[in-house]
Amino acid sequence: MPPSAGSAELAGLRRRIAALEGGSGPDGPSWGALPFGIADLDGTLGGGLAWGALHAATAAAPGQEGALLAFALALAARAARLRRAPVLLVQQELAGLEGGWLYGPGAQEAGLPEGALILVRVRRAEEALLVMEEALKCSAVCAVLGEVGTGVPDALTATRRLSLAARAGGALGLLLRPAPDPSPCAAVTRWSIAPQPSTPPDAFGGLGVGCVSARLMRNRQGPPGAWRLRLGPGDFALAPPRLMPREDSHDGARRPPLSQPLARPPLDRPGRTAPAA
Amino acid sequence: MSVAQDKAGLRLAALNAPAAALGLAPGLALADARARHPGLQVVAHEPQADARLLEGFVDACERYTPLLALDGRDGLMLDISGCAHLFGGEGPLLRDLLARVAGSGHSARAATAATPEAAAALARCSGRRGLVVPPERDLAALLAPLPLAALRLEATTLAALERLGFACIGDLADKPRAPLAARFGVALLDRLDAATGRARSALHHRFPPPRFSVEKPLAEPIERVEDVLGLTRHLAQPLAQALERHGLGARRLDLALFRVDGKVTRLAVGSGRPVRDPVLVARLFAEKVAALTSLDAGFGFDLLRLSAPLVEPLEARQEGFDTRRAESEALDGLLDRLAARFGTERVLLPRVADAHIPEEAGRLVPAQRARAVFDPAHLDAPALSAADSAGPTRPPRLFARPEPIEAVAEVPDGPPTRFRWRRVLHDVAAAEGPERIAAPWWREEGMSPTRDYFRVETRDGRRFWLFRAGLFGTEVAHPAWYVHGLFG
Repeated sequence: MPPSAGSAELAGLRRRIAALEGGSGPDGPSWGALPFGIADLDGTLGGGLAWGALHAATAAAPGQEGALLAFALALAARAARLRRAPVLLVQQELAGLEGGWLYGPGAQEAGLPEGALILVRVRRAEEALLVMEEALKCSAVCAVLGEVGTGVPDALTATRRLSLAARAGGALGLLLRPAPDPSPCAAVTRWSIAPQPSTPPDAFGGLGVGCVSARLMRNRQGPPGAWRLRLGPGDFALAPPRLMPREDSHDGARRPPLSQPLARPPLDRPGRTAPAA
Repeated sequence: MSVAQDKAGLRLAALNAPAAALGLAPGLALADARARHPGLQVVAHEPQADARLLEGFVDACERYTPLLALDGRDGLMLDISGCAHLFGGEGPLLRDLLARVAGSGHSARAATAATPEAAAALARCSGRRGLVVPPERDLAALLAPLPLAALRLEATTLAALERLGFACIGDLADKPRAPLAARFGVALLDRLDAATGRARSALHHRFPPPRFSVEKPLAEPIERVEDVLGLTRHLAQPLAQALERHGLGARRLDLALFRVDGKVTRLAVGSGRPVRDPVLVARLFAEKVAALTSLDAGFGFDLLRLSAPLVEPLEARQEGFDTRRAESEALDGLLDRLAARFGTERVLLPRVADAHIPEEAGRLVPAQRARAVFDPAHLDAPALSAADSAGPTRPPRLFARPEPIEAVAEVPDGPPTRFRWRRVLHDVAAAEGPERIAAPWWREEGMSPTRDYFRVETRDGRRFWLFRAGLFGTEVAHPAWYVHGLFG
């Protein structure tokens, strides 16, 4: 057989496979990527988190659902701002009871105003996956977050279905689990999220912007990695590395310049003035 | 025969025909009845079960007319004006109804007449099982021989009338009205006039009749879910045409499935914007059916009715190149399908209200009820300025109920230095607060104590939203601490 005929045949087979896989190439879907805005992180991911694909994130340890949702909402707010479309969040009842329900004012401060976030509450994990699949197929939603409290039955098949639905609709799918889950998963990237102490804004102590450590456990586009991220409303920044542990008044190792530790007055009092830059 | 517990003991509440033939009557003490007929079989009286049974019959009678009402505790009222000819006239309709009731193992008496009161009186007291009174008959003459009890007067009025020697309705007909009204009240004359057709009366309908409704009687009952859904789409076409003629779309759709044995299954779906496309309608019902564990078809359904109880204007539109509108419609479609499947109360939009109390500031409203779900312009106004270095002031996760914690604070009014939540000890590394939130002054009833909210960060970086309930010393002696939300 002449080599040209063989290569033509091969090309034909490749085209058929590409058609079977939903009109996109074997390597990456044609939907593009959602950049984090951090060069190192985006480079590792090949431009950012792929649209039209399923991603998975778990809390690094049980009881860290808060950091997980904060990370997911920051990502969703970024997606909503870029695509100018709403986000859908599915919360399984168990997850809501265990870690708290989504709170509108908090979501608004995370960059998802009224109307940009739709919440669906379901009882069982299967229902949450079904809602995710329906929503991922719908072109009007830019990101679908699914928080599943219990184990996902038949995880590989279920996540594979979600991946296909995401590829058809072009939205970003993000499956959130409250604890590390060793079961196989068809997600393109897998993240492990843990809370991180924040950097105090000034010498008086107080709370800084929330930080998480995002560990990229699996990455189909490149190597894994770990970053310390500062979560803003819809944007990410690399948090400066921590130089020293935050002093604690009980240790007595280092004391603040005031005679006793005072709580910082809140910035959100009515009639407050903007803090001096 | 059933008995009910009375103040004075067990009394007969209802009888079957053989018991009535023995000369027993409701109200008789069970001991007296037993003395006369020792072999009586007695069951306990269950008024609620009777009421449920009667409601089941009302539902089943919706196949004849949409205008239905309960009539006392033992009767149904069907307004069959304009419906009788669909069943071959009043006589065949009545026979069909009685045959269906007999088929379910119960006995019934029925009558049709020009007024509801006359029909009720004739059905109860004429002694005939199925009596059809043509509209031209003189009702006063027909009702004259019936006992006064047929008018369902109050017991005292009835007893007084009987003492005066009035036994049947005809006795009252030619008496002067003014003394009767003075002695027994206007209610007696109203009843009399309503029965004979001299005055009009109103029925309390069980369901408000929908303006748009289509139905399909089936010669052979169907059982399969696919058949039901296919037929629903078939029914949605004439409904869509009717709605289109009036420039309307349905916000709510009801599908009533009438089972052969008289049970009625009702499915209702709602939509965020008016719909009339048969394919969309069928899809919504498919989601609804998929959420049911089973569509209990029994021996099959022999009548399907699709109605639109809530309609809104929906004009025909030119399809354009406006992708924003297409996306908004796609989103509404998604929300409708999810709401049909999981229930309206599970597809929610978080709302931010201008309130200080956290539970009131963030409410979840059903997405279908909120119009214009998404406005991209809102995304442009960042809620938090970049200069604000302290992070969000409200947590993205809030517990449905604040969870109590054991906290230790350095000063009574200060933030906690360490607290135990869900059996885990957390050391506080940084805190901000207090943010004092008190109940509004105008709300005195059930006022909760003032709350001092703190945002705290533990040494491992977890952030909590804690509050102390009650002002130290003035409101409560030992304020309790709670965790209300999680920041991260």
